[in-house]
Amino acid sequence: MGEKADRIIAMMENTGQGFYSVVGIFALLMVWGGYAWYTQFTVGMQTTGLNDTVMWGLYIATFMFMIGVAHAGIIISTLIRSLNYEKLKPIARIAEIMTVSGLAMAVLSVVADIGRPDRILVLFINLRLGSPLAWDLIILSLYFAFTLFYLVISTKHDVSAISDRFSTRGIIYKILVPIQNALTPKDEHAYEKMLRYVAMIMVPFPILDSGMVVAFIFSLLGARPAMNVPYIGPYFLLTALVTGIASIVIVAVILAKVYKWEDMISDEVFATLAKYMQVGIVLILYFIFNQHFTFQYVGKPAFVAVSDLLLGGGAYSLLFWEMIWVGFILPLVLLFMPDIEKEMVFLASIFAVLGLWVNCILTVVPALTFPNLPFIWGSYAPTWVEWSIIAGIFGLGVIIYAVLIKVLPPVELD
Amino acid sequence: MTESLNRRDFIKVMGAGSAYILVKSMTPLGSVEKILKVEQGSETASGKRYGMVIDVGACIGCRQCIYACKAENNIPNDPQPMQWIETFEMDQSEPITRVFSVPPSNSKTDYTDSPNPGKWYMPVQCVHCEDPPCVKLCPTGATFIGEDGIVEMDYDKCIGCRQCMAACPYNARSFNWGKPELDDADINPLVPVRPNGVVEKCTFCVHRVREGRLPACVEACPVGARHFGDLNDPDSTVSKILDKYISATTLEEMGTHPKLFYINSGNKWLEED
Ligand code: SF4
Repeated sequence: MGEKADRIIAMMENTGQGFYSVVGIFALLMVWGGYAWYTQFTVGMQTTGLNDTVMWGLYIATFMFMIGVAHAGIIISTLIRSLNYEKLKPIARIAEIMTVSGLAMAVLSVVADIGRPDRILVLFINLRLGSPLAWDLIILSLYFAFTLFYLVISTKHDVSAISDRFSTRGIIYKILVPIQNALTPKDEHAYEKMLRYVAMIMVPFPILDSGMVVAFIFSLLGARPAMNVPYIGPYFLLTALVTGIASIVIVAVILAKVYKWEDMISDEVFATLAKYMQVGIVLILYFIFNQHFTFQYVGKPAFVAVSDLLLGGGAYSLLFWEMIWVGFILPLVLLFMPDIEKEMVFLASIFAVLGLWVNCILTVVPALTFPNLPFIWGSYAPTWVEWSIIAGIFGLGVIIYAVLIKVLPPVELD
Repeated sequence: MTESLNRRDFIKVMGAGSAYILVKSMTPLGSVEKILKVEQGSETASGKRYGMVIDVGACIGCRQCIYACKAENNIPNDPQPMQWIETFEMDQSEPITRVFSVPPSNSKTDYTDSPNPGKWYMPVQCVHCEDPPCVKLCPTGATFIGEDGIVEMDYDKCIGCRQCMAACPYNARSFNWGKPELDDADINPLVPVRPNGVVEKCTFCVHRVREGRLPACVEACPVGARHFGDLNDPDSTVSKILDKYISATTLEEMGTHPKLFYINSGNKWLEED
């Protein structure tokens, strides 16, 4: 093993003050979120800003968003394995670990949303296969299972290389190594093939997730005309992929800076990702334009109502235009700068991620504010409970990530 | 030879069978069969198909149905006021079957005295669709079509995901945003008190109508604007009324096929004005 491998192992071994304080801060966030969730569970969901008209809000929007974050791993491994972008290899593991914490955050966001999380068992016993929620449950479980499986088998060499170097953490490797050996063939050639196949099986998952089952939760609502449109699937897929790429950039830049891996994760990696983001954001803007243009031109009340709420003077128009300018156009400008450096890509990604999250909220909420019958229009403002639970979920996601990079080498050793 | 044939047949049957099951599971209401039949959804397990007719010409907007419904069905005021029925005061120019008007119409639910000149009154509630989107989307079967076509709730199965509320074009469903607070003395023992975190809605007073009684709102209406009965029985009040008058349902374009019909028997009190 070379000098790079030694540096990675050193990073895993030497856990400094900085690491503990970061984990500590996010742990506090988690505890706070836990307290908020306890309040919501005991007092009831009256503690949220949700109501009988706008019955879905921040939680469901964050679920959509986190599914996008969870696509990080698949995007990178697809690019590496099917398009032969070998130069992205250094960030492959970083992205795969993100899938795990992204999915965990997505699932928790849904759990936060349902009124009776204590009845999870009731759900499993009575699961109706005709419900889109059931499809989500099945596809996301498969996704989670495959991701974990891939992470376990793909770290075989790395784990066996470091398994005897740690004392306290050693116990994990003692369990992990036999599992890895049992799951994978001895023969190196066969092992490589297996990795490739498992990675290939996972390629369609973003389409199945964001592009289909997650989108179906919204697009199958005949009662909400602005959601009940066929393009929701492709649009969700697009936003989720851009979310995935932007979140890899953020995490990879932070890790490269903190652990001084700039030589390993080259600027070229970020320049490549920046290109994908450019295309993605342009396509998103194209979707948004087409959507509102059609809504406004045709002028059907159910569509115009939602469109007006966003475009002009409505309760959500400030947020909408902020999303367009700060969340999409500003990053686009940053990404099109000549000789782009990773700091710039990082900044663009931060803005883009915020924009994409707002986009999720604006997909869910405005379409629900309009009742079909002449009821009063709904409104929604998240409460401290909702913000705290989301913050807590984010804290947990960061902690899962931080722990995983201390256990599995975040950059492949060889 | 025969063996291989058998096997092929078997595979065919299996293929067709699983395709059928797949389609069936995705269209849980058996829409496949419905499409093949000319008449939609008139078959129920018990042969009965309960429906309601509201006469908007007679309705004076007095809200007696709302109060009777609340008392009958243990609908709480705390922690948040809840109603299964709502009554709109409508402008004369406004039709029954309507989707969205932008900007919002002059219809309102917070009128204080009624009836007012130039207005008519439209009570709304769960319309007990033949093809209810809530039932289609519910992940646990907590909301389902009962033996007599009533769209019912099983409060023990509901996980509170609110998918059904998002799916309901009529906004007929309410969520328990907290634990309902009711006076013990006011509780009707025939109706379950709901727990925190589940969805509820009009049940057509299933506990009464299956005993041969009328729903509480129908009994309470002082002007006889509400009628209830078996739509499959040609001699029932509702069938006779629907034979006699032109009727309408709300939001027909949603494809839900409501069993709550509206008629106008002749603008009784509007004409006096
Ligand atoms: S809230 Fe309850 S009844 Fe409604 S879809 Fe979810 S589980 Fe079914």
